[in-house]
Order: sequence, then C-alpha cells, then structure tokens
Amino acid sequence: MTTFVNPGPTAEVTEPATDWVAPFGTVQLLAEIEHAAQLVGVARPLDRFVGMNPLAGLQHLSFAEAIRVAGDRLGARGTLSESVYRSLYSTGRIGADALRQSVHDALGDAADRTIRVRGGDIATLDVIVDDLLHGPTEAPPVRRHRTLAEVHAPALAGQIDRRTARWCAAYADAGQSAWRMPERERGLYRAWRALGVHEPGGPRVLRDALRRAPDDAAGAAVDALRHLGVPPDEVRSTVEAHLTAMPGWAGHLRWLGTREGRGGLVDLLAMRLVQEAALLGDGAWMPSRVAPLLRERAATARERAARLLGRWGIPTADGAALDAVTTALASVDGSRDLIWLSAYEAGYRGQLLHQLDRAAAARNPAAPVAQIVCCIDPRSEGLRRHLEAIGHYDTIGFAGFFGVSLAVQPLGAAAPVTHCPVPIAPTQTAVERLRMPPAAGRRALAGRSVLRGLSEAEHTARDGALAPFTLAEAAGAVAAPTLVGRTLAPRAFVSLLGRLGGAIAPAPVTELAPEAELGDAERVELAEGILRTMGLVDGFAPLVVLCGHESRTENNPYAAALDCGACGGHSGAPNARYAAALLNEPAVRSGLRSRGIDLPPSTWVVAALHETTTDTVELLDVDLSPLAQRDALARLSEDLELAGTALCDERLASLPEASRVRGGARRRAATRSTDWAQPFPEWGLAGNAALIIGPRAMTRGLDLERRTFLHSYDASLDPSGSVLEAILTAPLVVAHGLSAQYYASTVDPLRLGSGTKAIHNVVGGMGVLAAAGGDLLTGLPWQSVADGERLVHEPMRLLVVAEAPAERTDAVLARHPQVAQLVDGAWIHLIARDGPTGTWHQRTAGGWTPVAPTQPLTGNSDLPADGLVADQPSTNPGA
Amino acid sequence: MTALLAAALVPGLVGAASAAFAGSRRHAPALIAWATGVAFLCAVALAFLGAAGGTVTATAWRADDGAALIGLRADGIIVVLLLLILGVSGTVQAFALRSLQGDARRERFAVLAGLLTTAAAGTATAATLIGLAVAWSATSVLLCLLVGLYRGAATAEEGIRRTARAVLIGDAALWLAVAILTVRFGSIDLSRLAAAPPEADGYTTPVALLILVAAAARSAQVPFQGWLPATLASPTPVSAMLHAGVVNAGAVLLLALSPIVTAAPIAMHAAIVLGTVTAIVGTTLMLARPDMKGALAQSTVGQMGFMIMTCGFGAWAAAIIHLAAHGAYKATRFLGSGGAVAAVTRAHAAPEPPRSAAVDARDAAVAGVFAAGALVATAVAIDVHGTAALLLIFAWGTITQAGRGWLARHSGMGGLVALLVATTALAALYTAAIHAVTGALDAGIPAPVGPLPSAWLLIPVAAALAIVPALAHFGPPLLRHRLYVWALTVGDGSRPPRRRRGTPRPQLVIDPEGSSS
Repeated sequence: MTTFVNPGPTAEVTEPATDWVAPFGTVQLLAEIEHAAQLVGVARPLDRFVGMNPLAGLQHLSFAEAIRVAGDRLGARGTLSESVYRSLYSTGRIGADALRQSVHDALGDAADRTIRVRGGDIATLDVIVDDLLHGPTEAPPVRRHRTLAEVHAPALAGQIDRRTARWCAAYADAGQSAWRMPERERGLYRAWRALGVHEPGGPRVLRDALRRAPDDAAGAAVDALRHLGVPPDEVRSTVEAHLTAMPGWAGHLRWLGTREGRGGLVDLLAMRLVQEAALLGDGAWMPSRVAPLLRERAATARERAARLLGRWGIPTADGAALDAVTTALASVDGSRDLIWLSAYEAGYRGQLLHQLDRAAAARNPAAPVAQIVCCIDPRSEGLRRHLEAIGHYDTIGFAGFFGVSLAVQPLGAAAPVTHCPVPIAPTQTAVERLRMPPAAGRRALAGRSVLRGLSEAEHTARDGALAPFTLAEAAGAVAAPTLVGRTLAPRAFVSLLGRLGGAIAPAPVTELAPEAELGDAERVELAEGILRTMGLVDGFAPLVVLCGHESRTENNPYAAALDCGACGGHSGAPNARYAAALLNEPAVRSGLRSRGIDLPPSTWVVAALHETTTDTVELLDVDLSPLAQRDALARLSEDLELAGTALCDERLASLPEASRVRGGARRRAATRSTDWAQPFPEWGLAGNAALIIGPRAMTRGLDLERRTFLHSYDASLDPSGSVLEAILTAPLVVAHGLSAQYYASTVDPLRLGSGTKAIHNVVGGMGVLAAAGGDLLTGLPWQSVADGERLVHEPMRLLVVAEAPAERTDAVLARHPQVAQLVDGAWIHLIARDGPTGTWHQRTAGGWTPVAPTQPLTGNSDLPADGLVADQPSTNPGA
Repeated sequence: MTALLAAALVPGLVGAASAAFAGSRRHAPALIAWATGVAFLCAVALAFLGAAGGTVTATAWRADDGAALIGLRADGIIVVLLLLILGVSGTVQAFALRSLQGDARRERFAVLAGLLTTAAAGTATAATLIGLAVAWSATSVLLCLLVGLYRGAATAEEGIRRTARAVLIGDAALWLAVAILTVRFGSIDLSRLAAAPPEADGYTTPVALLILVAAAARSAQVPFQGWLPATLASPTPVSAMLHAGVVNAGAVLLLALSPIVTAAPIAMHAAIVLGTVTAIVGTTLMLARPDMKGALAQSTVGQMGFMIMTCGFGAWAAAIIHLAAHGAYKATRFLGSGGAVAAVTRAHAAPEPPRSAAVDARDAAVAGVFAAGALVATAVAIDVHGTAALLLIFAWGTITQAGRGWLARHSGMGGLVALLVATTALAALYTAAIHAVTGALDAGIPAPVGPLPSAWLLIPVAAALAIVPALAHFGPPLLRHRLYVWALTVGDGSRPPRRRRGTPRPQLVIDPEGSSS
C-alpha cells in the first residue's frame, strides 16, 4: 500500500521535478486543465441562457475531427443516429440524389470506380449507398477516457460523483437556498476542505486525507496524482477524464471561476482527485474488477461487405468480391455519419437556393411608410413577411441589440443587467428612471415597495424557526385557488394576478437615461455606427421602427433561451429604446448630417417590442413622439396587430396541443404564454437553418418558414468591406452559436441537451438537474427541439448565404482567422453570389466552387417510412 | 348520497378500464382527469348534502348483526380528505395533460394516477379495518409503480429501492396489527369502533405501536424519511400527488384507528417524539438543500413531522386542517417549481437591504410582541383553550417571522403601523378560522379512550423546534459548520456501499490499459 506523502502546505511542486513518480507540478497541471477545458464548454446561469456551441473549445479543429473528439471524451453523439437518417431518407427528407452526391463528394473520383462481383460490374458509389441504407448501423460513441475509480471501482466513482455534485450545487447556489454554504468565499476546494471533514458517515480515509491535504487546490491535485501513481504521460487523459465525468458542473465552475477569480476547474479537479486518492488509496479496488467499456462493437468493413453480398444473393465465399466490396466500404469508414449529414443538409440548401433564385424579381416599395428594423432572429422573418404583405413597409434585419452594448439598471434594481451579445462587454450603461408626475411616481414606487415587503415577509416565514408550519396552513388557503386557477384557467388567472398587482403597484412610466452623460461626439459616433451597419443611410421613411423582441412564459427555467440572443438572453426592448432615443436627439441628428447621413426632422425613430410567445408588437414611448406622427403610428400599430395575428395563426399550427382549445390563434397563444403546465410555450429558434446576409430584395415575398436569420447588407454601400466585417465577426458568430446549440441539443439530447423537462429540478436558481442530483444539465431541453413524434429542429450546420463579392469576403476572413476557421473547418457552410444575377459559389478549404443546381425533393421508396423519427430521451444523463 | 360516496372510486375504475382497452389509450388521460373532476364534484355535493350532519355509508355487504363487512363511509372529516384527494388529483392530472405532452409515459402516468386516487380515497373512506388495509397496500404498490415511471435513470432505481423498503415495513406493520385485531375482535366496522372501543389489554400498546410504525413509514417519519426525497426521479406531477396526497395517509390511519391508538399513551407520546424529531430534521435539511425539489421534499418531511406530532396530542382536527392546507400548498409549490430561476433573478434585482444583527433582533422582538398580543387577545376573546390554544405558539412563530421580514423593508413608522394592523387582522382571522373549522370537524371525531398527553408538552416541543434553526444562525462556528454539512449531505447516498463480509481486501495495482480492454 502506498503511503500518503504530504509535501507541506506550499508544495514545492513548481520546481523542475526530480521525483521519479510524477515529474510535473502545478504549472504543468494548470496547462493540462486549460487543455481539458476545451471539452467542457462554458455553462452560463439559466437567467442569461444564450445559445452557444457546446463544442466551442474544439473549434480550432474541423467539425469532423471535433465530433470524433467529443465522442471519445464526452461520449456525445456528433450527428443524428443512422437509423434516424434512414427514416428521414424513407420520408424523402433526404433525397436519393443528395445521398449519392454526398457519397461522391466524400470519395471524389473513386466513387465511379467499378467493382467486379459475380453478377457484373457495380459502382463503388452504389455499394456504399446500399450499405448506408441497409448495412448495420453505427455504434453510439462511448466516453473512453475514464478515471481510475470508474475503471476499477465503479461504486466508488459513483460516490465521488454524487459527493462532488452535491458540493458543487451548494457552491454554485445563486441565492435559492436559505442557508448558504459557509466559507464559500474561499473557493470551492478550500471550503470543501474546511467543511468536508464534518460529513456525517463520510469515509474516515477521506476525512484523514482532507486534514492532510494542502490548502491550495493545484497542489492538492498534484499530490493526489502522485499518490495515485499516475505516470506523466497519462496526466492529460486523467485530467480530461475527471473534468468530463460531469461536464455540466465543470462548465459552470469554469464560468464561475472566470467571474469570481477563484474556485474554477482546478478546484473541481482537486476535489475529485483528493477523493479518488483517499478512497482508492486504501486499496478498495482490484484489477479483476476492471469495468468493461460498454461499447457496442462497430461492424468492420468486412462484416458490412459480407452482409451486402448476402443481400445481393452472392455467397460470401466469393473471396474476390468480398475483398473488393470491403475495400470500397473501408474508404468511408468513420465518415458515414458525415455523409448522411451532408445529404441531409443538401436537401434544405437546394430548397433555399431554389427559392432565392426565384425571388430575384422582388422589389422593395419605392416610398415606404415606415422602415422596421427587426432582430436577425428567425422569428422576425415571419413578422416581416406578414407586415410587408399588408402595406408599404420596408423591413431591415439587424442584430437585436441595435449596436448598443448596454448594461441596464432596471427601476429600483441594485445592479445592472447586461443586454448585449455574450462575447462583447457593455460599453453603455443606462438607468431606468421614472417619467411620470411626482405623485403618481411616488404611488408606483410605494406600491412596489409594499409588494417587496410582502414577498420578504413570506420568505422569512418560510425559512424561519417555528414558522413554516402555520405558514403552510395559511398559504394553503391562497394556494388552493392558485392551483386550480393556474391549471384550469391560466389566462384569466394570470390576468387577474396582473390586475391585482397593478392595483397595489401601478405600472410605472419610465425612461432609460445614460448613467454618465456621453459627449456629443461619442453619441454621434455611436449613432453613425448603428445606421451604417444597418445600411440605413438615406431614403428614410417618416417612421423608423427599432423592434426588439422578448418572450413571456410561466414556470419556465429556460425562459431566457426564448429571449433575444443578441441581448445576452434578455429582452431587446431597452436596447431599442436607448437607440431610438439617441437617434431622435437633435444634436445627434445635426452631427450625423455633418457626417453625411441626413436623418430629416420629418422622420421619427420609435422603439417597439415583439413578444414572440403571442406575436403582439407594442410600440414603446409613443407619448414622446411628435403629434404629427401620431396618426401614422396608430396606423402602424393596427398593421402590426394584423401582421401579428397572421403570424400567430401560422405559428400555432405547428405547436402541439393537448386538447382542442377554443378561440382564435391569439387567444390560444395568450393561454400558452400564461400556462404554467405548458412545456411548449413557443418553438423559439427551433428549425433555424440559415443566415442570409443581403438586401431584403433578395428574400422579399418568400416564405422562409421562420428558419432563417436575416441580416440586411447592401454590398454597394460598403466598398471598404467594414460593414461586412462587422457582420461576419459578430452576428454570424452569434447565429452560429445559437444554431450549434440547437444542433447539439437535438443530436444528443442527454449529453449535450438537458433531456426531458418532466424531471427537471431547478438548482441554485441558476441551473437544472435531472431528478435529485448528479450533473448540471446544459443545453436545451428535449421539448425545445422535438414534440414527441418528430424532430421540430432539423439538426444541420448553419448555412450562411451572402450576397457579397467573394474577394471582399475572403479579405474579411483573412483578417479574422477564427471566423475563417468556422468556414474552412466546415462548422458552417458559406455560399455567396456577387449580386442578384450572380451564380452561387461555396467557399471550401480549396477555394470557391460553384454550387450545383439541385432538384426539388422527391420521396424515396427504398425504405418503409416508420414515422417516428426521434429517439426520445428516457433517462437522465446521470444514468 | 350513497352514489355520491361511491363516485370517489370512479377515477381508478376509469383508469383500469382504459388500461384494459388499449384502443382508448390515447384519450385515457383526459378521460381519467374528467372522471376525477366529476368525483370531486360529487364530494362537494356530499359535503353540502350529507356529511355535515352525520355519517354517510355505502355498504355492499353486512354481517348478520348489521356491521359493515365491505363498504365505505364518510363523515365531515373524511369529506375534507376526499375533497383534498380528488381536488389535488384532478388538478394535477389536468396539469399533466399538458406538461407530459409528447412524453411516452403520459398514458401510463394517467392510469396509475387514476388508480392511486381511488386507492387513496379508499383508504380515507374504508368502512372496515380490512378494507382500509387493502386500500393502504394498493396505494403502496401504485406508489412504487409511479416512482418507477422513469425507470432506467440511476436515481429512479434508488427511489424505487428506498420507497419499496419503507413501504414494505409499513405494510407489514399494518397487516400485523390488522391480523391481531381481527383475530381478537373479528371484522371491525370502523364506524362502530368509536362507539364501542375494545377493552384495553396487553395487546393494545403493541398494536398501537404497530399502527404508528405504519403511519410513520407512509408519512416519511424518522427513520423512514429517506424515501421521500429519493422519489424525485419521477415527473413533477407525480411529486405533486405524493406530497399532497399519499404522505398524508399516516394521519388518516391514526385518526381512523384513534380508539385503539389513544388507548395506548405510550404510542401517543411516541408519536409526539417521532413527529418532533422529524419536524426538526425536515425543516433543517430544507434550509441547506440547493435544489428546489430537494428542498421541497425535505420541507414536506418537516410538515409531516408536525402533523404526526399534532396527532400525538390527539388534536385530530388540527392535524387534518394542517394536512389539507399543506397538501394544496405543496402541490402548488411543486408544480410551480420551474419558476425558481425567475424568483432568484427577481430577488437579485431587489436585494434585501443590509441590516445589523441588533436591528434584526429588535425587529424580531417588535414583531414577536405584536403577534403575541394579537394572538392572546383573540384567543381570550373567542375562548380558545387547551391544545388548540397552545398550538397557537406556531402561529406566533409564523407571524413573528413574517413581521420580521416586513420590517426589513419597511422600518419606518408607516411600516410599524401597517405591521400592527396586519398582525392583528391575521391573528384574528387565523384563530377564528381554525376555531370554527375545528369545531365543525370535532363533531365526527371519536372521543379519546385513554388519557391524552398533556398539552403543556407543546412548550418543550416548540422549544426543540426553535433551537436547531437558532443554532444554525447563532451557534458557534464549528457547530454551525457541522450542522450545515449534515443538512447538506445527509441522505444523498454518497456513502460507500458496505463491503460484504468475506470479500478479500483488494490490492493496489495500476492497470491503466485496463480501460480499453
């Protein structure tokens, strides 16, 4: 038995190690952690959930390499399973031609080579297609790097996981539990080291180890690695194995560590390794109990070949045929899933390009009544389409933070909330202030204060000594009608609650004021940036509407996932209000004029809010507008109402309804929005597939089915390419993140998504667990991407379609290697044409290649359609 | 009237029927939810028409002397239980119709929920001891099936294991008690039991203790408290039904057999001790649990402890009021548990203003004096006395804590005046309501057979309940840390599996390649 050697509280581990057991120290360890961190992503709290690529850390690799690594290290799927692709093929969603083309693309000229089998010649391509359709399906990936405990003592590994998860949950609590973790401010590892010795019934070896363990996390981890006798060349895989054992908590600790400057991944690793060293160190494991890797063995090319020959009625004894077919199949070994994925993507790409080609004739109205700037969010596409169908409106797509990276301090709040894309830090701070008569303002504030006092009273009684028992009795009297009201008449109940709240605390009228007054030059610069990136520099309509969006749902931990991704998972309204107020300032307008943008006095900029759950669009701060504009605003408001109703009608048809709810779409949507039992309040961005960068004329009049991010871009206004640069480096990255999040949560709902909502359990006010414990769930719930019978989100890589000169695009990508890597690593597809009459070219690693025209989809009869496409996740990821 | 009572059994029958006819499975959930709703309306009718006056019975088979052999009965208190069981079940099923959309287990949940509703209603309304035990065990089986709804998840297996263990012990205890009673007295008609309680003898205390064990297992009392938090691997609606319905059966059982239990003072005192310890454990663990459903489960454990403790004092009406109100409260909290993220965000937006310990203590003292004054005045005015009066200690605790919370935000003169008015109103309203309901329910409650534990025991009980949270706040750091770690980690199953005797102590051998074999 090895003994535990304590090198002292400040282990001299950074010096060049002479220790033959483990010549590494904290510096090397931190580097290994940094390396392993690639695998775990960053798990933000749910109140600011934003779609991000869970494999973002692997983006320096190509997509194909990254999903292999993720499969190996996380056990996560990188694509849909082959059986799902086959049923998509049988329904015709994957075309036979697309599949053949995809195989052809993968093989190149080798695809046309023929193989001699007994019946005659057969093309390699046909052999592979036949195998894709009928061969054995690929085995799901399995996490291959495992910890020593996982390999040798699975029960102990389970114990380590449970204990670590429980402490992580307590540490990460953002204010949900009444009794906060003591010593929390010292960081996870130190707090655990101080408290863990008190664990009732905890293993004595662990208590002893904790008492001896160094105070510093990295040192403790290094000691434990030595104690476990991990050889230096296995440190990397050991660190990876520990951090990917519970990637959710690792991801969140990574976020917390960056934010608080302590308690990051190194603490998590130290906590796990100290346990493992202590528990395994007493010899509670033995080689005879090596837990086998439960991996379905993948069929070899030879087995596949034998099966194909059997299918064709050729005896496998025919050695030459078997060899030839085996060679053919071996050429696609390991890329079968990517062949399927490409064929799947080709179907949508063909349809979209076909649509775009037909739309070339569409025009924007000559003199629009209003220009409505909407978020690039796919849900805005529906609003824009319906609005344009109603009247002389021009719509523009722009990232929903309207170029204002804002930190907003809501009325009465203590701290600001960040409303801007995740990678950007806020540059402006705005404070929400009352804008109403003093008496009414005092009344509103007093009402809010009363409500807060009541909530504080309830909270204190819930958690106070002696208090919870009678509280339950008293609250029961309120709870009974709540229970029935919320369940049986949610809309009426929530509106009643709203009215009651309004009676106590009337809704305040507010304005957003910059915290520090900006100088004129700064404001003009900000305004100019907004307008130029929008491509809105002349031809202003009398009304310019900046329309942000938000969602309204009840009882939904994932509410932020339905809000504006460009505003960091919050509402876009403050950004719209801020930008509108800025653009309406006379000083800013005169400044703009001197810079060549004539925003005439006859034009008024107004903010609006699109509530995506019900498709109501509300114009904000209308009372600030000049009287001359009021009629136009009223007409616009009516048209927005019409467009919203039409959109709502269209949208609700795709949402599952448990029972036929009576009433119009608007009514039903309002019920959904207020229903606490509703797992499908709206589809959010499910279905998103493409980002189109170009003038609206490119897409106007097309029904893009709310599947496309639309960013306006006029290449003729951007000779320098700076606007294109702004688009490719910000909105494109945001859209890719959202799209990748939906992709990942669909292809592996348990490891990359958060599984079914039915057993979700909110932890620490910041995340969700499956059932009682285990790993923090990351990604989107299953109910966000599928409805139980079909996949509502089609997991494809984002297709970017741009109307921009190829050389300008290349120039931008050359300046931004990370964005170029997205394209060249095939994380996204980039297709462009020079202008309305140009031909489509796709940027590949080998340069721009013409995109072949594709045929519309037709059904394939090779396979029976078995309807159900989705494998429903049945268990929690901890299973 | 008989038909109205029998309607309580409808949901389960509809569930069974739809399970039998696979063709209607798609519509089964809605059908069963509607059936439960109709049964609830029947219970409402029953409350207005019949049960207020006396006992309604529906007897299918009588013995020669007229005693019920198979049948149902309902009096005021049982109708309250029926209203709770059917009301919560119907609402939760309506919730599940939508929340489990697209879930492959939606139909299975509905059928089991229907059957569980019938079993729970059967437990409450059984006219005979054997009928009660049969319904009780049916509940046990359905409980395990519901907890196993998401079988395959590691935590679900753990939940089933723990639940099955507790249920088996409880059922064994109950059936043993039933067997002894039946052998000695023949079939027992529960309505007659009150009128003519059996003579106390050497068997009384053991039988009463067995009944208490059965109640403790079902109501998650120490040492059985571990099963309830382990059931969270089932979907939210199942949790709502468990916490609002199933766990209450302990008090229902004690009440139904109160002529036997009250004859054994040892059992009554044991219930007080058990309940108090459970209440301390549950309310302490609840404070430290960072996950919403985990905290709610521990809170239920605590509340069930309070309920059993109240039963131990023979304050049956108070116990029933508590379980009914708590059922509605807890079901609402579970179904709405998804709102926890928004709640924390709201709390962050308006953080509690910092206060010194001295100011906090002053606020607590002011609120405490207000609450005590108001409660004493009301109690004297409407002549509340005995156990009911002493139970007002807990109302005092609640009003004091709520007042302390209010003063944290409104420390000015206006806040004080508002607090005084609100405290007086709340104290008067609560005391009067409890007094009225207790009076109405007491009519149907059998008189105690033996002497009841002294109501003054409530004072040490309340002190015990107050002391642990106080230590968590004000104790010496080491004690606080120990308490916290205990509250955070106890019962999470992270303890090592016990090594079987005879297993050789393994050797330390490193085989890193073993992983790829």
